Amino acid sequence: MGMQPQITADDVLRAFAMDFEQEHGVLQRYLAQYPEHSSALIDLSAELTREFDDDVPPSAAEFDLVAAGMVRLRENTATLKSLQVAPAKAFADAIKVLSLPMQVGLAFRERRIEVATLPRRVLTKMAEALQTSNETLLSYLALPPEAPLARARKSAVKPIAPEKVPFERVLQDAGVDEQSISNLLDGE
Amino acid sequence: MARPLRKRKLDGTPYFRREKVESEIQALAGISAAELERRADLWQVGDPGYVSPEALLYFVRNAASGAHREKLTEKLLLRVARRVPSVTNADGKTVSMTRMNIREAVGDHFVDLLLSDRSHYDDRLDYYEVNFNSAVAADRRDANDRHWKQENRTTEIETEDGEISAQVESAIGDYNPFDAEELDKKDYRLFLDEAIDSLPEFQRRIVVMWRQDIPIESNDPSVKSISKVLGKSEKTVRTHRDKAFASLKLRLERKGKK
Repeated sequence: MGMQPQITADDVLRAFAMDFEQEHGVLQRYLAQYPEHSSALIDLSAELTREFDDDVPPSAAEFDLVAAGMVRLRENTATLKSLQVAPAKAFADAIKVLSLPMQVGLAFRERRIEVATLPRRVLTKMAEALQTSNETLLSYLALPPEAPLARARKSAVKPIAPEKVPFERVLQDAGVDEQSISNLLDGE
Repeated sequence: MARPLRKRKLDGTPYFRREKVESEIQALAGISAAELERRADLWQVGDPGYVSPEALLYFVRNAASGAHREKLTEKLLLRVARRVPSVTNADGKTVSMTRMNIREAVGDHFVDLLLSDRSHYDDRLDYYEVNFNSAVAADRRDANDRHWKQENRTTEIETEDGEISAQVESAIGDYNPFDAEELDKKDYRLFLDEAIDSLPEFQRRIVVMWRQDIPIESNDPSVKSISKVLGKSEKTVRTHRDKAFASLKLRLERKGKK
């Protein structure tokens, strides 16, 4: 027998919610299959049949809830710690706001850029895209450079310690054309 | 094709968006950002330009950060807010703290998921792309469970096998709160939900199961009956169902809905 993946109460309830409208007798089936969650399933069944009046315009209370949510979304700035555990994709996506190649995003992630050579505008745009402050991004970039684990493992030769390079070099290595580079660097 | 969902069902097979949502996403992908924002603002389901919350969520999840995503997110949060019951008590004047907490908990949970999805794909949001309203219903249940427990709502003391009075019995007659004809009326359904909410927990669960065609008693061991699920005799269940129906009838009559 293979290992059964752990099915949590939440898994069962969410699956029930997704199945509910699809077929008749779903509650009966889930009660038989997951008797340990019967109270929660019954209560969820009540919520799934709850009626809402979709013809009335949104109320002030509803807009208040939206506003509170938007504040939370905007204020949730990435911390130094969250940047350190952020996936490469977060940096690759962020660099898109500057229309730069993914390699440049990875250079940010691996902290291979000399902070002093980074134009302020680029820093600000990148911080915004990463949903963090300029200060946090600067503190992050100031940490020692890092070679990604996967790349180090693939290498046949002993990897040399990565070092920080000027931003211009990062752009050149990524194949950004000279005109774009000078626009980026002189656009201060 | 729109980016596929990653969430898997209990049997290991993947979840899919509904056909309707898939084609809606395809169609919306071809319009301008400004037009999408305008249409996302429409809140009436019957409106010709109405964007389903499932499709709206897809665009929120896949938009680059910036003003456009902000605007769409705002419209999406309104869809969540529209699916959380009012905080007003049944008297229509006072506000329930517990309901307020439930409201905030549902909103917060959704924001947490959006934030988590932004930092790394969070497959829990996939449920909302399959069936948004059902996913929010599950969030309401979670929040109800936590907050009503905190309030320590007192439930009516259940009288074991209490005899139902002849008066109650005659009052119910063949009354069925789930009469198909009545259920066709939206106002009736709104009041019915409210009336069911106000029942003691035991009666409420009987009514909810009854509504889903769970039999009160069954000789088939594979069939779950209300009596088996609640661990009470058939007679107790019947008595409490009748009491519940009598309360529902009374409440709906007061509201002039019966």
